[in-house]
Amino acid sequence: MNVQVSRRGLLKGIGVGLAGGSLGALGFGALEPAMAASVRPFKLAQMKETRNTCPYCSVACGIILYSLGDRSKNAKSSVMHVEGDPDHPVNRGTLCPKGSSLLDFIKSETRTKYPMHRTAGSSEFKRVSWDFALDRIATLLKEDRDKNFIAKNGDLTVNRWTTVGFLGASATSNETAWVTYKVIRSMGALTFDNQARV
Amino acid sequence: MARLFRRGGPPPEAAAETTPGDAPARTFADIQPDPDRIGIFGSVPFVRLPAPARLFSERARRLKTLASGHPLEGYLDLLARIATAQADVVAQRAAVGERAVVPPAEDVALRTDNGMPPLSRSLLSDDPSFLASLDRLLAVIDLSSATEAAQFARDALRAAPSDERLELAVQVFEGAFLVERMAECVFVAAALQVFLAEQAAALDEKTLKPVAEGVCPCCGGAPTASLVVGWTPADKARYLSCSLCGTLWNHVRIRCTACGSGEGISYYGLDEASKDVQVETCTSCNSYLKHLHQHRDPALDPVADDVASYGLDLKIAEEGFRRAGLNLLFVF
Repeated sequence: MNVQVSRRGLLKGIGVGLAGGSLGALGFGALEPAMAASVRPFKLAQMKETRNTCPYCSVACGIILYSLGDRSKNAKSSVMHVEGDPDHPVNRGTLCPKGSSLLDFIKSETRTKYPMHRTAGSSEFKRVSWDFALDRIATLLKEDRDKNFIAKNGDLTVNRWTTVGFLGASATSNETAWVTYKVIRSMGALTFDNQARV
Repeated sequence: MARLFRRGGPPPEAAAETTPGDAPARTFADIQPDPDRIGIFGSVPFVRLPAPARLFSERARRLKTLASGHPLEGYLDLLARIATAQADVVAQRAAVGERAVVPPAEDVALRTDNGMPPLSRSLLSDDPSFLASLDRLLAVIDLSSATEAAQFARDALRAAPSDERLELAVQVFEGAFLVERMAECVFVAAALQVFLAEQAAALDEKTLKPVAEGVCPCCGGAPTASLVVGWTPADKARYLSCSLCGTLWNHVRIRCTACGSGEGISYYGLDEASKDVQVETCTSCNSYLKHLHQHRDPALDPVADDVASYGLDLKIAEEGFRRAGLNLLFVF
């Protein structure tokens, strides 16, 4: 860590007032108030840059999300630009046309942001809680597995479950992918693919 | 077929001279993948060594451009004169064939292998050309319209004995500025920049290794500003500019240059003043560094634009952030 101890900060700390640094020493001390006055009406604009991974395919390009607004205050922050991450070893700042259009993906009105549920016979989706969604998925999976699980093919033990499929997400980490594989395969599911191939 | 990008190899007219019959038949196995041709490289260069012949003259030009109508006009004008003098010293040294005394390769290897930058302060006393450069700088600098304080500092420095000047240079190298000699420090720093830029330019960039977070791999100096560059092999990568030798070295973006933390990084700017000059702040160590978008405006210079954006320093200090970089020509 190499933060410089500002001489003025130090002097201020010990209660000594002095015209500032090089500016004052070279006889330009009077310019400082002019500089301060010229920027006084301006407001500091805050911007954030956040690293993320493109969700489209298995290449998993690094991206930088540029957002305006301060997350800690009441202001609502919004992503205003998406760009390739120049430090990412996979894409070195480049993006394909799909990746370049990620901003529209984020801003899309039809983007799914919450678990949604359409009951049988109904024509519209309703927002539900994660608890409801996960319970519902688990119940349906269990029902289907109890009904369709194939333990034996003749004398041979096969333990297969072919009536349910699973699609993994493409931007998962190695560890998430490992856990996903273990969970799905250990239930016997054979139909298993990844968004990365889509 | 139209070529939309620049390719390596001979220009089209040179290629046209060889008739197709002369070209040796190429088999499929001969054809190698050549991703460089579209400007994308596997890795960005770690350092870009300074080019003293251009560095100071371009800085002088930038300072002159910035000075007119700026609230700090007088100071920017003085720095433009200093940068012009720096460029003159480089040109004079080149004209008489004086070159930097480069440390031997084994010394460089020993230092880099042990995590040290190859250029050290001992070069100042080992190489007499530093004091000669300082003398030249003080002789060629045009202070006719400068303040009394600046002229006084120049005269005091010219009258000072060699060992005192050397002592002052070592202090500036170490980042320890004497409060009572601040004005003289600016001229000593200017000579130091010329000397170290020439030393750094003579190094082999392949031998350089990262030293520490926010420390120059050539001379161990602190950064002046961070630049997002637009060069072909490193488009939009971030480079830190050394306050002493002017070397640019790569530093991952969105990572604090002072403490290395990637958490709590924000960018602040005065959009009314300039969208291309921001500060990168870190809430882990409460520090900030100027962040210049050179890919949008290639004219931005770390030293010149750091001074010109002093208003941003004043604003960000109100938010409670401390300055992490160092501008030897503008210490505050």
